[in-house]
Amino acid sequence: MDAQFKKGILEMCILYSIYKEEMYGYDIMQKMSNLFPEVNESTFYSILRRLCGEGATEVYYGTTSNGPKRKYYRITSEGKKYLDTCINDWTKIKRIVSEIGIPSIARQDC
Amino acid sequence: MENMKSLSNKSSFMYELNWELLWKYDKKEAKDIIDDYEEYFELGLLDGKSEEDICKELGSPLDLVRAIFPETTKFRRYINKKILHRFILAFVMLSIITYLIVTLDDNKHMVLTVCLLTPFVIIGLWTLFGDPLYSLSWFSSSESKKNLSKLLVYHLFHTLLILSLFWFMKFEILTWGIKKSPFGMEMFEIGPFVTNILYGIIIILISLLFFGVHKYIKTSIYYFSIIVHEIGIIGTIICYMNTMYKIDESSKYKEYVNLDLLPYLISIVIGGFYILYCNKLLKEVK
Repeated sequence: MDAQFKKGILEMCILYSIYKEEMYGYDIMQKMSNLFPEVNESTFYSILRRLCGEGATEVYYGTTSNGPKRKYYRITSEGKKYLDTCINDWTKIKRIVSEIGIPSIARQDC
Repeated sequence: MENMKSLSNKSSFMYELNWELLWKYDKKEAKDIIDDYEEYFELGLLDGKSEEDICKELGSPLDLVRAIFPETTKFRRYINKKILHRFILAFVMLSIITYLIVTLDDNKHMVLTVCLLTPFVIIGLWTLFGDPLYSLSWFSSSESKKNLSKLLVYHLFHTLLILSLFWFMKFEILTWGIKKSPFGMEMFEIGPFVTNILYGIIIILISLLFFGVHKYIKTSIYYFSIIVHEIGIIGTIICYMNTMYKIDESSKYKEYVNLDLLPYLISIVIGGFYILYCNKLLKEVK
């Protein structure tokens, strides 16, 4: 798959995960690598950092039951707007793909 | 260059990560990334994974740094303003010492001095244009046999270099010994004798420099700066001894003593500031 395309999708997934639930970095990376086992962890980390750097998410420090302070990520209002455009783009692409009639399983005879 | 090797424990991972980040990014950002990975390890261990598993998950620190800063892969990895700035300083200092020792020394020591100082000029040029840290990080990750054989060639080259310098040194002492008996030394002969010993110390320091750069990658800047400083001090002593020797031989050099010593002292001061600067940078990263 094209790297940029993939990165866009991963970005949306990460942002949505953070939107649904405030998480710390380890959790996000674990969750993502379970979903996308072929993608390297450093890719998730770089996306996480970039989202944070661009202001789509922000960091705050909280404590957990089992230890020292943890770095949590939460979505900002900017991030929510950005997530909306991502989801819009994604649904648009999905619609176009289904309109063309691309089957969900790759053709074997071509 | 694909870096597929994975590290086996946390300390080596953090070490490599520190090294990859040391040269490039501002300390805040570097510390942030390091903290994140400390946390990752901590939580991974709480999750019941071994350090090796976590390292395998994370992949190589180099790939990580490349993923975080994709723009740097387009350019030579280690050439950023910070390191260029630092090595221009080192290079200027080495050039000053080289120039001064070559021009101010007497003719007898001219050839030897040039031979001795050539490596410094090479190191200076190498650090400035040769992207040495790239090869240094390559050295640090030399685990395969292929890399080891390359490393061996480098070591052989440096050993030959140092041996040839020793040979020059021996030649110098021999010719001096034939002309003047080493026994029953007169006052003015002590000057070049001590000078030769100091040259020997410089050679040892050069070999230490190479050794340190190869062996203790992490502290190589620190190491480099300390040794350059020591070489500067010995250079000063050599100059001083030479001028003393000249004064005893004929008093017409007397008026040049202060002029000779002043530039050396200046280079030492520059060296001192350079060390402080390096230490500050290292502390910031730590």
